[in-house]
Amino acid sequence: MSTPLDADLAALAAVVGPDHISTRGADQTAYSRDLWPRAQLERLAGEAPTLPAAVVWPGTAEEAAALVRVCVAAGRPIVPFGAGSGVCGGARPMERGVVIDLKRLKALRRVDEAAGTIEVEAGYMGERLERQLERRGLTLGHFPSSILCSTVGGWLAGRSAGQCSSRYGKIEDMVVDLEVVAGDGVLRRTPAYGSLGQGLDWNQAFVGSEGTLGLITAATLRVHAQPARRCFRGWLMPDVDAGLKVMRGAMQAGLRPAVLRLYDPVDTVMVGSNPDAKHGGPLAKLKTLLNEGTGGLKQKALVTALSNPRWLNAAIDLLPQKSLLVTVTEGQDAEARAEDAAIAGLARAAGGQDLGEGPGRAWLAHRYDVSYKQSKLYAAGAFVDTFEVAGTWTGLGALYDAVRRAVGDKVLVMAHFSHAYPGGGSIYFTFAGAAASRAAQLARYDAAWRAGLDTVVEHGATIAHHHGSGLSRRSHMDAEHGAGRAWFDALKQVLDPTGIFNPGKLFVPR
Amino acid sequence: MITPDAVARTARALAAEGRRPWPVRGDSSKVPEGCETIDYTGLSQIRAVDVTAGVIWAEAGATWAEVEAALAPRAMTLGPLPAWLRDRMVVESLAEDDRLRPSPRYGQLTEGVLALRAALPGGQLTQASVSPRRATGPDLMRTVVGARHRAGLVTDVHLQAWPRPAAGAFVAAAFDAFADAFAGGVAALRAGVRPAAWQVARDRGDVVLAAWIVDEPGLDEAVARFQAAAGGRPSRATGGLADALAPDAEPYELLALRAGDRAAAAAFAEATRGARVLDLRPEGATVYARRGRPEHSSDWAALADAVHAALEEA
Repeated sequence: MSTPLDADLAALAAVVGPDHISTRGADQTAYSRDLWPRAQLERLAGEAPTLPAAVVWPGTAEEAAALVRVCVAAGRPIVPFGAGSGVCGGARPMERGVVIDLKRLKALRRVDEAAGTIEVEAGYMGERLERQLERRGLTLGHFPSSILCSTVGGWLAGRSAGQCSSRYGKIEDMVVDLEVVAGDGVLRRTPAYGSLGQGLDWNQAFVGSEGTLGLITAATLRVHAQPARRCFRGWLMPDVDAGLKVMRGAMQAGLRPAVLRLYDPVDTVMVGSNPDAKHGGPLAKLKTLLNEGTGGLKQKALVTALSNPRWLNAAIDLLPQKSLLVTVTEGQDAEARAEDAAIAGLARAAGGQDLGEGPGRAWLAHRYDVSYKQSKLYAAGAFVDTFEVAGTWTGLGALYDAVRRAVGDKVLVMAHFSHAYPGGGSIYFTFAGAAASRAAQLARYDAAWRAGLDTVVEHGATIAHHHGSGLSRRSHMDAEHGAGRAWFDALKQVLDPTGIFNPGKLFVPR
Repeated sequence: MITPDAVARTARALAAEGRRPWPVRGDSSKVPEGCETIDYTGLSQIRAVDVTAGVIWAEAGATWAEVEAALAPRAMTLGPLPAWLRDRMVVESLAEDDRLRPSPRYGQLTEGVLALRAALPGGQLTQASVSPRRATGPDLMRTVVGARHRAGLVTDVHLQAWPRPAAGAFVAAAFDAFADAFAGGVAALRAGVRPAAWQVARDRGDVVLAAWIVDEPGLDEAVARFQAAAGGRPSRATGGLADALAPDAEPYELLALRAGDRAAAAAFAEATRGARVLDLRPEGATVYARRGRPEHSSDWAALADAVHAALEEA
């Protein structure tokens, strides 16, 4: 049931029309969170979220700019919203502001095949965009696992990475220019060549800003021809270090494989590529529990197991350390084959066992599978979350070990290494835990995050590779940037002088 | 020898007097009016070379040639180092946004910065994790790039280096016009060839697309693929690219004059004496020359000025 609108909300309604603004409770609740797992724990613990005053859906970039002007004049906080798939709380309202859902900005404005660029609006859904491009023989090359439930604007706001980032780059590498609205309510296009002669690289200022500096309404992005050939391969490596050596060797040799994905021993079992799982070992039993563990004895067994992560992690350390490395090369026929052969040489030299095409093709078939089993886990009294970090090759193995040690007494932890660059790569940790009460679960969840991020900072690595900061990492953003936060504060002061853009995100407010 | 802390103290003292710092290595003849020199001669050491990660930690007063010299004994390289960059300090290149080594294979030199430390106008020293990519807000390190030292004085950087290539080959094709050469270069890129360096420039009446290709899986095959995709007429000229990359080439100044889409850049290059196009991409190109006035205008420059002023006032 709608209530009478405040004057500024009425002004917003005048911009978008009465059908495109809502103050209904159901909409307020739906837009009060994204997919941050902590919010789920809070809800289960009985904590009420902060609801937005209204949700608005602009139909054009000009309408979005007009909304900003109204909000600035009224001092209404703005939370930009894409598809709500963020996992860090970045789209969660902190004050009673306005959520601007950009999904009606869904035009593919221009496809310039000669220039290899597209101009696309921020609300365009990822999978639909890729499908549209595929029909023209093109690809953006950006395949985040959230592609079915994320938008172009969300990708840009959070510095998203797709599964083929080692070939096509992260989203920040794909940007030619952006259409943005900052705090003056003016619709502008950033310079196409970043900082050249502009005194500042404006593309790289807005990308990753998570809605704190303005709205991104559209972007010009680089696209590529669909690959003529893909070569798939799986390798069972003796251990994580051997797998990392192959990844490093490939990237430093100037190769550009579409996928280099190394699973640690636990994750290797989870994807079904360790003989231990096939023969009913302890990890196989745990996998069965995680996949099916609801109800009765199974539920009790799962919660008991996850409540004793120290024992679980210690048991894992005693198991064979074999790690699955999935490789995919692509491009024109000769290029894809040559790169596949070059990586095969590196893998054999590092002691890898060739598993053929199977693991690569299996990865492709399941790459967007979302684990709906997570809700069962939460219902059973457990929790699951992920965090991805990055560093140089020299420290990556030690960082992996250190994070496992740091969080291992709190949660079951596994990882894969899935984004490789010449200088280093990322580690994607998945952790699961349980505790007797909802309050104890929240405490254990927070302790795991804190221990993990503290360890990353101590190792001089970065606390986020592609999920962003939002609320989940802001406690460590000052440690990440040190005095460099002043650069963000200066950008904020100029672009958002009234402080209405997504307040409370990225950094803890001073 | 000076330290980053000393730079920070000097920056703060100058800011308090309303003056701006300007790093030099001895020669202060090009320091803008109203700026005070800080001699970076004592801040030009190589701190460490991490061979595993291919990362070199250098003080910002080091020149690109000095960084490259420190890598050479370890069989590493920053990639091709053209004559016009050799004597530039790292801190200068970042402050002026030197995009003078565009390389499809290695990227711009300034893009190879994995981390940097800077002394802010208020005297604080920043820090940064060393990582090839991050998602911790805007890329704040880029705030200093092109800011002409107003957003902070860079004191030291971590740079991406590469294994020194075992083999390389020059290949060139001649065209009638810049636009045709651009199309040839883009076709080569789309065929999967990424030269370590390339250039489009006029040479004895032709417009020559010249490329330096290294260590592709199968160098001969990569050269053949480049030639087949680029088209044009076979050429033995390199438009001066080979000379510019020679280790004993005399350093000289090169300016980035204009960036734009391919058609606009081609028209500008046709009309510009001594034009070289080093940064060629499917979506556009950047035109360089040894003389000329860079063409830039937008209200973004004014906004950047406001950001820098906010930093100075803070």
